[in-house]
Amino acid sequence: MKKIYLILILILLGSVTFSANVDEIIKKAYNAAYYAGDDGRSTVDMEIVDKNKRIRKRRIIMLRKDITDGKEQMYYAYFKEPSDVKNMVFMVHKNTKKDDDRWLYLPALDLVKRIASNDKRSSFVGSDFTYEDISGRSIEEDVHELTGEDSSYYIIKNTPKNLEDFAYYVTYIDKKNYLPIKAEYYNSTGNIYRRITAEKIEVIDGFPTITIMKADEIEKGTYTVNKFSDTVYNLGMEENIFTERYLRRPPRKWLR
Amino acid sequence: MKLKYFFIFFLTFQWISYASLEDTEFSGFLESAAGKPVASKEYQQEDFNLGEIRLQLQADTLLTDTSESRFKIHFYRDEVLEEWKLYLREGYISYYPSYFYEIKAGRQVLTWGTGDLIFINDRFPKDYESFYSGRNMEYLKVPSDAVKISFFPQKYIVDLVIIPLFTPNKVVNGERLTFFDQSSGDFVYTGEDYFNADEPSTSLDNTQLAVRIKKNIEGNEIALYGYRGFYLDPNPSEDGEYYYSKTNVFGASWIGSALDGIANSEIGYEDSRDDRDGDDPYITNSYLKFLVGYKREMGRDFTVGVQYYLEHMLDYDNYRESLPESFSQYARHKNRSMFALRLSKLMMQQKLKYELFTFYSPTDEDGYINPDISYKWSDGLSTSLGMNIFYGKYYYTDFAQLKDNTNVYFRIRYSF
Repeated sequence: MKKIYLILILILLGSVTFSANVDEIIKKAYNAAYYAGDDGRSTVDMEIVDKNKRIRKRRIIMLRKDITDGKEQMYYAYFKEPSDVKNMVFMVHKNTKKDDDRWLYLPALDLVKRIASNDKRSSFVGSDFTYEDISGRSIEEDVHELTGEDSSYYIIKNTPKNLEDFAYYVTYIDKKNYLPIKAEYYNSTGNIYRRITAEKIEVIDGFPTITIMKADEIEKGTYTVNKFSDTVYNLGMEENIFTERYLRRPPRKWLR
Repeated sequence: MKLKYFFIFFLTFQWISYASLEDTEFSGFLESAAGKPVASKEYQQEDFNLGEIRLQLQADTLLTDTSESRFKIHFYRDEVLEEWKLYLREGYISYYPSYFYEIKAGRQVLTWGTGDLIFINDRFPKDYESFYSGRNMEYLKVPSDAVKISFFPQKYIVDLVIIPLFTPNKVVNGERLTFFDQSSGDFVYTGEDYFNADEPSTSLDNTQLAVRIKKNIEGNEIALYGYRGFYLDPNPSEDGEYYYSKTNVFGASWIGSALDGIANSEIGYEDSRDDRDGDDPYITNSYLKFLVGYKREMGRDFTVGVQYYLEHMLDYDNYRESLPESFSQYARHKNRSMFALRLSKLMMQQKLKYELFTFYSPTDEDGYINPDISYKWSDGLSTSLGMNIFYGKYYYTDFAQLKDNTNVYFRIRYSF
C-alpha cells in the first residue's frame, strides 16, 4: 500500500514539475518577446499587402516602457508615414487586471480620443497583426501544453479558456533565447488559417530581438511584414512620456 | 489690430532665426469635394452647396532642441462662392523648455471635452457650415489665434488658453446653406453672410480665457473647465444688428472604462453675462448642459457609440414672459434633449469604412443623419461618399430648418 502512495505522489510531483516547466517556458518566452529591457524604442516599417498584392506602407516609431515585468506596460506609437496619418499618435496602457486603456491623437482636430479596447484581436492599424500580436496575449488567457520538442524548439499548444476566433494555436519557442519563432493558428476544422513568423533575429544591446516579423492571413490571402530598425533598449524613459501631454506634443527627444 | 501684427511679427522673427530646410518635413494633400442638394429647391437655389478644390501644404520644422513649428497653408477654389482663397490653417510655434511647462503660440486648432460632436466645455470655434455641407470632418474645427500655456504639476495637466483675437463660429448663414430666420419669419438664402455680425474689439477685457485642469487616475480621466468670453454664434439685437454676447462657462467631465467599453459624462453651466435674469429674449438664456455617452466594440472592427444630451434653460419663465408674441411659436423648450448614435465598421484591412452618425431630438422632434462610405485606394488616395440628411416635424427647429440643405457629397483626396 505504501508503495502505491509513493508512486502516486511521484506521479503527481512529476506532473506538477512538468506543468511548471511549460509555464516556465511560456513565461520566459513572453518576457523575451515583449519585455526585453526596462524600456525600448524601435522604428517599425510596416508593409500591408492585400490579396491583390497591393502594398500599403506605414512607418511608426514605437516606444515602450515596462512598469512590471510580465505585466503592466505602456506603448507609444508615433506615425511618421504615410502623409494621411502623419503625426498621429496611438497610445496603450496595458493592464493585466482590466481592459487596456487606449488613446488615439488626431493632430488635424487636436483631438485626444479614447478607443474601446474590449476586442484585443482586432487589427492593429489595418495590418494583419492584431493588438495582441503587438503587445502580447496574456498568458492567463490560454491553457498551455508542451506537445513536443526537438533539439532547437519547444512546441506548445495553447488552447483559449474563452471562445476565440481560433480553436487553438501552436507556438515554436527557440530553446536558446526563448523567443517565439512561429505561431500557427488553427480553426475549428483543424486547419492552419493564420501564421506569425519571426523572419530575422538579431542580438541588440544583449537582447535577442525579432527584427523582421510576418503575419500571414492564409485564408484571406493577405499578409503584413514588420521590419524593426534603430532598436535601442534601456533608454531611461520616464513614465510620463505615456500621458496626454506627449500625445498632443510628441517627445522629440525619444523620437529621433 | 496692433497686437495682431506684433504677434505675427514676433512669430515670424522667431521662426526665421531658427528654421532650416534640413530640419523641415513637408507634406500636404490635394482634395476635391462636391455636394449636391437633393431636397426640394424651394430656398436652396444653387445646383451645388459644396464645390471646391483645395491644396494643403504643411511644413513641420524642428527649430531648437526645445521648440518646433507647424505651418499649414490652404489654397483653394470655391466654386459655390466663386472665389479663390489663400488661408493660413495652422501656424504656430511650440516651445517646451522645461519639465514643468510648455507654450504653444500662434494659429492653432484647439479641442477638449469628452463628447462626440457634442461640445459643452469646448468653447473653441467650429465651422458648422463646413460640417453640414459635407467637407472633411477636420474642417469642423476652426483654428484660434491663441497662446496655450500648459503646466504639469504632479500628475495634473493644467492648460491655460489665452485668445486675444476673436474668431467666431462659422454658422449656417445663408451663404451656401439656408436656414430659417425667426425675425423675418422666412428662410434665408442670400449667397452672402446674412448676419454680418459685429465682432468684439481686440482689448484686454475682450480677451477670451479658457482653462482646463485634468488628471488621469488609473484610466479615469477627470477634468474641470472654465471659460470667460463670448458665445461664438451671432446674437440678434433689438435694432436688427447682430453681435456676440458674453458668457462664462464652468464644467467638469469624466471618461473611463466601463462595462467592456468607454463611458463618459460631461456637465457645464453657461452663464449668459449679458442677460443674467434671462429676460432679454434676443440674448441666449443661461443654461445647464449635461452629456452622457458610451461606446464599445460589438464585433470585429465594429464600434457602436451612443450619447444622451440635455440642455436645461435656467430662466425659462423670464424668457417666456419677455418673448414677443410674434416669436412665441418658435419658443425654445425649457429642456431640450438629444440622442446621438455612431455606428462604425471597418473592412478589408481597414481600407473600407462604413459609418453612420445621427442626432435625434425627441423634444424638437427633429434630427440629422450622416451616412458615409470611405475607401482608401492606396496610401495616398482616398474617397468618401455620403449624405447630410436633415428632417423634423416643424420647420423652425435646429435641424429641421436645415432640411433644404440635405445633400449628397463626394470627396477625393490625394495625400503626399
